[in-house]
Amino acid sequence: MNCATGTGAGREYHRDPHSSVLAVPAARADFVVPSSPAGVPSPPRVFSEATTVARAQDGDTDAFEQLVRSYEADLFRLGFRMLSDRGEAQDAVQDTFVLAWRRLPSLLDPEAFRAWIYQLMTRRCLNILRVRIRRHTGVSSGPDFELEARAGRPVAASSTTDPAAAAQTNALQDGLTALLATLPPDQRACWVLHEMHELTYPAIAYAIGVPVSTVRGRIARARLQLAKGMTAWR
Amino acid sequence: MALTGTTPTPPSQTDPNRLGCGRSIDDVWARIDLPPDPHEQTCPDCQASRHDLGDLATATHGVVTADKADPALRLNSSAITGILELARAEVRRGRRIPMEQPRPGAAGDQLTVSEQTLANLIRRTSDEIDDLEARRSAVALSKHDPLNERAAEPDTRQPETLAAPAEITVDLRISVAPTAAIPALTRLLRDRLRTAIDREVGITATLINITVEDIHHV
Repeated sequence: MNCATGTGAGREYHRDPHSSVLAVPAARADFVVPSSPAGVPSPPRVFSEATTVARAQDGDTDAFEQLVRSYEADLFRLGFRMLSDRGEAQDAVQDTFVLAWRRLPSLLDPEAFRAWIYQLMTRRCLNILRVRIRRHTGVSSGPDFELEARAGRPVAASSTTDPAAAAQTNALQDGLTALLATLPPDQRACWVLHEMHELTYPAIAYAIGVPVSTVRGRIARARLQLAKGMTAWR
Repeated sequence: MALTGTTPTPPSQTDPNRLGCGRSIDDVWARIDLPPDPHEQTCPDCQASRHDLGDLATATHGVVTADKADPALRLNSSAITGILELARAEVRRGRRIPMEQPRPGAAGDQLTVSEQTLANLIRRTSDEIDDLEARRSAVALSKHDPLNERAAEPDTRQPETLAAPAEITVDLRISVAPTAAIPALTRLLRDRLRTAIDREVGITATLINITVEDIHHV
């Protein structure tokens, strides 16, 4: 929908005698409008995501803050499952948001923000993993590698009170965590984005920069590999 | 005639994603949360595949749920503050719009207002109207028709009487509520914007172009 309208207004040269414009003495000073009229707090408005993105593109830091708060947890989870390291995941999320702020004006379609921010984060993680591989540290030999079971973690999947079943559930989750880290980074990215973040194949293709058919193949291979591995962990 | 050639290779030996019965593992995975269909109830390939994939589905669901509940997998407040402070420090102020209409031969130094300041004012003013959401905006000095200008003539008026407010054109893109009456809404928006820009900045919005680019659900 696109209906542009325009009108010319009568030109009025009235100036408010109390306007602060007149009180600014310096030449070439940049006039600043207060963010809200004195004593009148702006009512909080909740906007659609496309509106929030568009406003952030125009430099609205409040809108950008909303986007950061909406996406930080998702991106952190993605980073942790990609990198298996909380510290590196946090750094990657921060780097991603800073990059997003700088590149936002060039995002053509505000509706595409979700796929776009996932693209920035996924590529950041893949770059970190490439550097790791080049340094021959290998994922499983990193000093901060966090594959250990989480002490006291929420056992969300076990709705049963049966301790044996809960232990089995924990074992399966630990197995998946360990197996994910053994997948090639590109396969891991596809799997995590699809199965843990519910991105569609085209969105993943956009995030990683490969054809949809490649994404489909990588997810199928990852699934086979993981299913085979789960049998061993059982 | 004797049959020649090789025995057909079972699908599962050529395509690791395909089971011996012909179904793909994608198909089984897509149905993993549903009860087995009649084929799956009797097919040993599908039953074995459902068993293996069932563990994977259970573990995946468990890991996702646990990750979402884990406060350690969130940015802490200082990390968020750091991102936002950097963003605020890098706010693009945009071009400066002179607050007085430029005149040939006028002194170079003049009061200006940044595009960013005007964008903030436009958003804040628009936000007072419930049925619309202000999106991107742009402002520019209005272009004057030289044939209708008297600027080419020597201006003999005293400098202090010359200052006329700058005239700008505003382009604003908005989203409206499904129930909004667009003509009335844009008329109200134009009036509010023109008044606010005049009152708070002291310049004149001679043209306000409003583009309704979306409908949002409240």
